[in-house]
Amino acid sequence: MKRRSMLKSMGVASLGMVTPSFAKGERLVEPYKVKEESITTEILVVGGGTTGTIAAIQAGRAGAETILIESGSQLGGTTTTGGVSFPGIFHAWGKQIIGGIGWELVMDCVELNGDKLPNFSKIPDSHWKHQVTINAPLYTLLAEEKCLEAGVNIRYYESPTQIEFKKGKWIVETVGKGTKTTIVCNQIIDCTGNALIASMAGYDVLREKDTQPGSLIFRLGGYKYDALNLTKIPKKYHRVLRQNMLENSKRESREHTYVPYSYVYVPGADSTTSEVHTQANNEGRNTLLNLVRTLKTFPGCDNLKLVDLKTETAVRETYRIDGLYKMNKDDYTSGKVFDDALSHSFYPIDLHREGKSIYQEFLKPDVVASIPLRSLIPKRSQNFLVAGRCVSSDRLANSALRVQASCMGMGQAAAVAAVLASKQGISPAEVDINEIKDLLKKHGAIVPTQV
Amino acid sequence: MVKLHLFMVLKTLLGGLVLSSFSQENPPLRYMQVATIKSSINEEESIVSKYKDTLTNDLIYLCKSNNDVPLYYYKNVKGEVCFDDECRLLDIVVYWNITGRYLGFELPKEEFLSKYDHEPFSEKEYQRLHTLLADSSIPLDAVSFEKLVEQPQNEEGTVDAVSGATSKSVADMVVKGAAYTTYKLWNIVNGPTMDIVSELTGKQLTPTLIHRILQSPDNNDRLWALNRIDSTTELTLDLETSLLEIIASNDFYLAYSAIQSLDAMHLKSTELQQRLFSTYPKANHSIQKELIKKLLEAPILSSEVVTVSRGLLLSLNGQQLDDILKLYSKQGVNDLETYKEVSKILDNKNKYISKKAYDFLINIQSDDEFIMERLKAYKN
Repeated sequence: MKRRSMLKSMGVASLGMVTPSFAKGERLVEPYKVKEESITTEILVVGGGTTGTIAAIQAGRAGAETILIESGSQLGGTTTTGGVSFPGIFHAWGKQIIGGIGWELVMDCVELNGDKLPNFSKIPDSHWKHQVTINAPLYTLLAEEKCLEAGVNIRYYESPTQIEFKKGKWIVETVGKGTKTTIVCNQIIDCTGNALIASMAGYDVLREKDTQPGSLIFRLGGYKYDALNLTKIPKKYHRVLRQNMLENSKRESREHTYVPYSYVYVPGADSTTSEVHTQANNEGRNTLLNLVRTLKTFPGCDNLKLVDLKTETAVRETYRIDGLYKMNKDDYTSGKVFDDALSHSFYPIDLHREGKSIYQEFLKPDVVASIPLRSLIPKRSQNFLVAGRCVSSDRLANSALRVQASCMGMGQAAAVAAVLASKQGISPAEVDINEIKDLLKKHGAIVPTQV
Repeated sequence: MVKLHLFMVLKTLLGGLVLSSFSQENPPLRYMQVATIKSSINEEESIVSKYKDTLTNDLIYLCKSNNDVPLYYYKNVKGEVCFDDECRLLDIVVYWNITGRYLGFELPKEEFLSKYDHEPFSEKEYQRLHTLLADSSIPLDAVSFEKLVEQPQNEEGTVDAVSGATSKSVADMVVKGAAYTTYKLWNIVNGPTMDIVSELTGKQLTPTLIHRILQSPDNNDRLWALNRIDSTTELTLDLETSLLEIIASNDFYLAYSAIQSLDAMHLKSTELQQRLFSTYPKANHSIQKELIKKLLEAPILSSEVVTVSRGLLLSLNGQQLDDILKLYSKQGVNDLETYKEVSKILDNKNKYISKKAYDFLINIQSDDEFIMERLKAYKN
C-alpha cells in the first residue's frame, strides 16, 4: 500500500516536473461580448488615409482632443495600403507649394530610408518626376508614431454606422471588431475619400455616371526586360513589362520612361462599402491573375513571378460633396487664388477615361491652383468638414486636386479650421479666415497668397 | 524584302540629315546659352588646355581666363557620316560649360545644317536644335538609330517599312526633317564628354571657383557646385556668404542642398553656426527643420545659438519646439537659464506643446527648485 501510494505520488511529482508552467494557464473565458461604450472628443476624423492621417496629427498638435477612426489596419490609405507610394506634388516652378505636416512626414520617411529627393529646382518634362518616392511600410510606422505623439486616439477596424447632430454635438455610432461605440464630438472631418459621412449626415453628394478606374498595384520579377524579344510579345504587354522593371527609388531626373509602377485598371472601382470594395478587389485580382498567366506564356517570361501585390485596389473617384463652393476646371487651370484659399494644389488635369486613355492638361508656367475653405464645407452643414478627393469640385478639377500632396494640404487646413471652430463653439464657415490662415502658417503649412 | 524596304526608307530619310559642307557665303553660325562663368571685364579668354577624350581619342579643349579661371570646354566634331556609300562631312564645334552643362555650338564659316531634302535649316530650326540639345532629359540616348523611323505593325504584327516616317514619339525630340542630325548631336552633347568635362573641372575646384559657379544664373550649375562641397572644402567668407544666401532663398531644393553641403568639419566654426541659425526665424518650416538637423552634427553647439534659440522657445509650435529640444539634448545644453525658459512652456495650454517641455525637463533631472516646482504644478 505504501509502495503503491509512493509510486502514485512519484507519478504526480514527475508529471509536475515535466509539465511547463504555460500549460497550466488554461481557463474558461467569458463568451464573446461586444464592448459598448460612449466616448467624447473635440474632433473626430473619419478615415486614416492620406488626408485623415494629416488632419488627425494637426488637430492633435493644435491641442484638440482627437479621435481617428479607420476601417483598415494601418494609416496612409492610398499612399500605403493602395501602394501609390510616391506622393506629390509638393513643389511647382522651383518653389515649395505644400509643406506642413504632410511634407514633414514625407521628409522623415525619405531621410530614415536614406532616399534622395528629386531635383525640385529643375522644371520637369513630366510632372511625376517631382513625386517623392517613399518606403510605404516606413511611412505607415511614422504616420502612426506622429499620431500617437500628438495624442490622437486611433481606433482601427472601426466604421461609422449612424450619425446625428444634436444640441451642437455630433453623435456618431461606430462598429468595429467587438466594439460598438458612441462618439460624441464637436466637429467632424470626413476624410473617407468617398464623402461617406457627409452622405450619412444627409448632405448632398454627387457622382459621375462613369467614374475613373481604380488601380491594383503589383510587382513582377523573374525576367529580364532587356533580354526579351519584344517582337514575339504583343505590343500591349510591353508597357507593363517595362514599367515593372523601373525601380522607383533609383530613378533620376533623366529617367525617361513611364510612371514606374505596375498596375491593372479596375473599371468603376468604388471603396464606399465593404461590398463594392470587395468587388473592386476581386476584379482587380482576377485581372492580374489572368495577366500573370498570359505573360508567362511569352518567351523569356517562363519564370515570371508575382513578387508583390498591394492589399487593396486603390480608388480614384467616387463621390464628391456639394459644397459651399464648387471648384471648377477654370479655377484650377487659371490658378485662381480665392480669398479663403487655405492650401495649394498642383497637378495636371488628369482624367483616366474608361481605363483606356488619360486626358491630361498641364498647368501653364507659374500657375498653381488653390483650394478654398468653402469647398470643404457641405451646403447646409454644421460643424462639419470634408477633406481629400471628395471635396466640392467639378470632375476635371477633381481629377487634378485628388492627388496626395493636395490631399495632405487639405487635411491640415480642415483640421485647423475644425479646431478653431471647436474652441469657439461655432461652425467652420463662421471662423475668421485670417485666424485659420495664421494658425496654419504657425504649423508650417503654406497658405496661398494673392499676388 | 521588308528589310530592303526599311533600308531604302532610312536612306531616303536620313541620308541628308547630316551636315552639308558645300559652300555658302555666310558668317559662322553660333548659338550659345547662358554661361556658368561670366568673364569679368579684366578677364580675357587666353589660355587653352588640351585633354584627350579617352573614349573617342578626340581632343577636348579647355578655355581659361588670363587669371586661370576655367571658362568652358569645346570639341571639334568632324567626320564622315555615310549612308549607302554617300558620305557627307560633319564639321561642328560643340561647347560645354565647366559643369558639363551644354553651352552651345558653332559652325565653321560657310558651313550650315541641312535637312533630308538638302534644304538648309531655317533660323527657327537652329533655335529648336539649340533648345533640344540643351535638354538633357530628352530620351534620345535610349532611342536606337533604327527607332528614329516609325515601324508600324501590320495586321499580322510584322514590320512594314514602306510607310516609315519619323516616329511620333521621336518627332517631339527632333528638328522636323533632321532626325539624325538632332540625334547625333544630342548624343555628343549629352554623352560621355559631358561627364568627362565635369570631372575635369572637379579636379580643379577651389573655393573661389565654387563661389563663382554658385553665382551662375543656372540652378543646375549651382547644384553641381553644392554637390562638390565636402569636408576638405575651405569655406572662405565669399563661399560661406554665397551658401547662406542660397539657404535664405525661396528655392527649397537649392536651400536644402546648400544645407546638405555643409560638413561637421565646417560646423567647428561657431561663427558659421551663428550665421546659419540667423536664417532660422525667416526660413520656411521645411528648411528650419533641416537647419536644426544640420546643427545636430556640430561638434560643439555655439553658445550664441543657444542664447538666440532660447529667445524663440515660447513662440514655437510643437514640432519646432521638439526639434530644438532635441538639439539641446543631443548637444548637451545644460545651462539653467535655458532650462528655466523651457519650464515656462509647461504653462502652455496646448498639451502637445507643454508635454514636450515636460518630457525634456524630466529627462535632464534638474534639482533646481524653480524647475521642480513647475514640474510639480504641471503634474497636478
